[in-house]
This record gives sequence, C-alpha cells and structure tokens, in this order.
Amino acid sequence: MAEKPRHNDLGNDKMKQNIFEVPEGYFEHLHDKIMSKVDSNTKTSPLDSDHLKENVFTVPEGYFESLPHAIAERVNPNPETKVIPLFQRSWVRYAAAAVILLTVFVLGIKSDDGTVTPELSDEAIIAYLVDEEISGLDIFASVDDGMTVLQDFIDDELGSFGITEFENPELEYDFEYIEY
Amino acid sequence: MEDKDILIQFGNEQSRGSAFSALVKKYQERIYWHVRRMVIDHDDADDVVQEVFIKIYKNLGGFREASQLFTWIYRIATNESLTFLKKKQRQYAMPIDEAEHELGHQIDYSSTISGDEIQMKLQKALLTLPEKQKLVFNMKYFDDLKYDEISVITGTSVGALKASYHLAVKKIENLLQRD
Repeated sequence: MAEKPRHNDLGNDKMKQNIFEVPEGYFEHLHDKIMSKVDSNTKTSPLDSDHLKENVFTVPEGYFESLPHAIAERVNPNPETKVIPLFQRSWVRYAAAAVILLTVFVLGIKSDDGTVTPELSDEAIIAYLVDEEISGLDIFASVDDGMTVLQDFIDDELGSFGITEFENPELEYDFEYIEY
Repeated sequence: MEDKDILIQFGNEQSRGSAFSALVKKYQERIYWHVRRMVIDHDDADDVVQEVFIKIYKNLGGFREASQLFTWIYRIATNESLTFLKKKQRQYAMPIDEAEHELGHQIDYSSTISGDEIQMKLQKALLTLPEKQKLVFNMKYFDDLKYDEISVITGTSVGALKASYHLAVKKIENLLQRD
C-alpha cells in the first residue's frame, strides 16, 4: 500500500517556498521610501536650535547694578513726602466742600431781603471768598464745633493711611488676569 | 542667601531692608528677562520690574510658603506684565494687529535688541501669539520651567499648558519656515 504524501511535513523544501508576491518594482523603490520616512521622522524643528534660545535683548550698561537702589528708593521714600501728599489732597477736598456748604449757609442768612439763597453758583461763592479773603479755617472757626469737625476729618485721613502703611491688608496676592 | 533665610530676616524689622535687598539682587535678572520678553521695550520692562518688587515688598509679610518663593515672585511678575500690556492697549485704544505692528517696529529698530535674521524672525513670530500663549511659550522655551512650575505660576492645569504650548510651537514653526 502506497504511503500518503505528508503535506504538513516541515522537512519538505516545498513548504519553505514563498507564496507571497509584491507589486512590480517594489524593492527598487523601497530604499527611497524608507529614507524618505526616516527624513520626515528625524526632521528637526527650527525651534530645536539652541541659537534661537539666545537672548536678543540687552539692557543699558550698569542697569542691574543700579536697579536695587532704584527699587529701594521707591520702597522706602522720604517719610515726609510719603505722608504729606495724601493728607493734603484729602484735607483740601474736604475743606473745599465744607467751605462751599458753609458759605451757602452764611451768605444765605445775610441776604438783603432776609431769605435764604441756596441757588448761588459755585463761581459766585468762590469769587466772594477771594474778595473777602476768607480762608476755610476762618469759616470752620466761625461756627460751633467747626474745629472739631475739621479735626475729625484729619484723624480719619491719618487713620486710614496708618492701616495701609503698617498692617499690610493684602495677605495673599490677588492674581487677576490668568484665567483659562 | 537662601530663600528661607531671606524670609526669616524679612520678618525681623531690623533686618528687613537687607533681606529685601538680597531678594532683589537674587531675582532681579530672572524677573527682568521674563518681563522684558513680554513687554519688549526696556523702559516698559524697567517700570514693570520696579512695580513687581514693590508688590513683593508689600506682600512678602503675608507669604505663607504654600509654594516656592521663586514661583510666587514669577506669579506676580507675570500678572504685572499682563496688567501692563492690557493697560497700554487700553490707553492707546490700539487694535491688536496695530499693537503687534508697533512692537514689531521696536524689534527692528530698538538699540537694545540685537539678533540675527532667524532670531528676529522668532521674536516677531512670538508677537502673533495671544499674550497668555506667548507667556506659556516663553516660560517653557526660554526659561526652561517645568509644566508643574508653570502650572503653579499661572494657576492652570498641566494638561491645558501642554496643549497651549503645543499650539504655540506649531504656529511658530510654521511662521519660521515661511519665507
């Protein structure tokens, strides 16, 4: 009895034959295709160059030597110039407002016909004060408790300045503009 | 001087001045360059840097060391730079493309900016980025900060920062490769 051929015999050379095919000219072009892929994968970004990370900005000579001094000057200004502007500005504002109000009252009760005239313009009041050389302090002094009111204004102003100067209310820096 | 020593000495009224002086000397250059890359002009950068250190002086007493001193300082500098740019834009009522043109002009003609063609091209390309994207790019690319650090400075998630940086890089690469 003849022996049946053994197709699954790995020792058979036929089993080793390649049954796959490639398109015509495939291997002629494979090298170029590989090199092209390698190029695209290893292509460097222009940003990879350290040259681009170099600093192109410069500063005036001696800038960093003088900067600490400039900052120290602003952090610790002359104490006199620190207090006076804030105080004066507010004092003048409140005093001017008080002068106008008190003048309306004073002029009103001194009118010829004896009636109150609150419709006087600011310009008229200021012109009157200039003509009469009346200062804000004169008016405060001329009414009951005027100087006390003035002193209260001064105390309020100095008090609020004291808080911002010595108590540092900003315990955490407020970061305003970074929000995504 | 170590940061912790600066903080301890700043807490003592007697040594506050010298501690602050040490802090300024330690961080002034890093902060200056960070600000300068954002505002471009030296005089503007000088104004902003001084404001940054004044803010630091006023607020350092309340610094609770939840983050590193350096990231806290960067955070203030970043915020001051963005505030400055916003104010400047508002002050001159300048449309964004006009502001970009103005800064591009400074890059071309400023006596305190010098670089070769590709370096100048990069600086001009950076002007086209939205300010916050530019900020992220600068901190990552020029300052070599880690995403974790930038996250603390900007209060933004690492994922959002990576996406922002990736977009910025793509845009800049395209502009650099364009003739």
